[in-house]
Amino acid sequence: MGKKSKIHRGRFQAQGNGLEESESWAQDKPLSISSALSLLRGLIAKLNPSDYTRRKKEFEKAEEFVENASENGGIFAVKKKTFKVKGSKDERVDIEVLGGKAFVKNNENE
Amino acid sequence: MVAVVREKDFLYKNFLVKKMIYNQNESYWKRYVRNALEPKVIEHESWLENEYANGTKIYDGNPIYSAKLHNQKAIRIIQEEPESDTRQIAAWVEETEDEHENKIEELVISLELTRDTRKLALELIKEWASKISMQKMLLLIEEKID
Repeated sequence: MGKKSKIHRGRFQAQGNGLEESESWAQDKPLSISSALSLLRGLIAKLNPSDYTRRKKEFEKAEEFVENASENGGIFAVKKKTFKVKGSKDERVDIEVLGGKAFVKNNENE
Repeated sequence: MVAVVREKDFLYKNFLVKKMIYNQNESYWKRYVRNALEPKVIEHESWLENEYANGTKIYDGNPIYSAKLHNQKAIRIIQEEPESDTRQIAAWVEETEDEHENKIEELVISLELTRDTRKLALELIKEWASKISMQKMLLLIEEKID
């Protein structure tokens, strides 16, 4: 199946100060809240402890945003959210919904 | 030298608390960016509409302003809670894509709003709207902010 058919796509990223890690999705159905939280956890698992500790609060904000979105019907593309570590040059956690819809309740993407 | 910020330097200080102030703050950015750029340069203002799928607007300043420009570039301004006693502004450029999977280069500015940070942000935006490359823009950001 070609990339174009996967209309629901996006990524979570942890970036800045030399770090560039991400977890992405591209699928036929909107990304559910549980899959989103699982991808976020997957991204955290890719980081070394100090990179994660620096961004811990920002990961919490990202998770909170995903949960709020889920309570409000999800979000449509294109959306970009950046949770930057205050006082840092560019250390951050990003959410990008680049196509379709994401963060819907688990029973809404079946 | 670290620029000191006093409480009274913050503009739209309660933008995260009062929706009316938030809306005024959004208009403020539109006004200033439109004044800084030629009208033909801005292709699609508010292209990153800050709302949930049910139409509920998100009053978080993330972003407070966004626009796609004519030259496969974009700008995004994130306004953070005003709470620091030193100037807070950071910027970077990155490659991303639009809804049609076209590659675009985006300037992201994250700040606490004061007259000083607004001035810096608008200087960066004006340069970004020109033919400057990502590499040169990074150097300019370092020169002006870092």
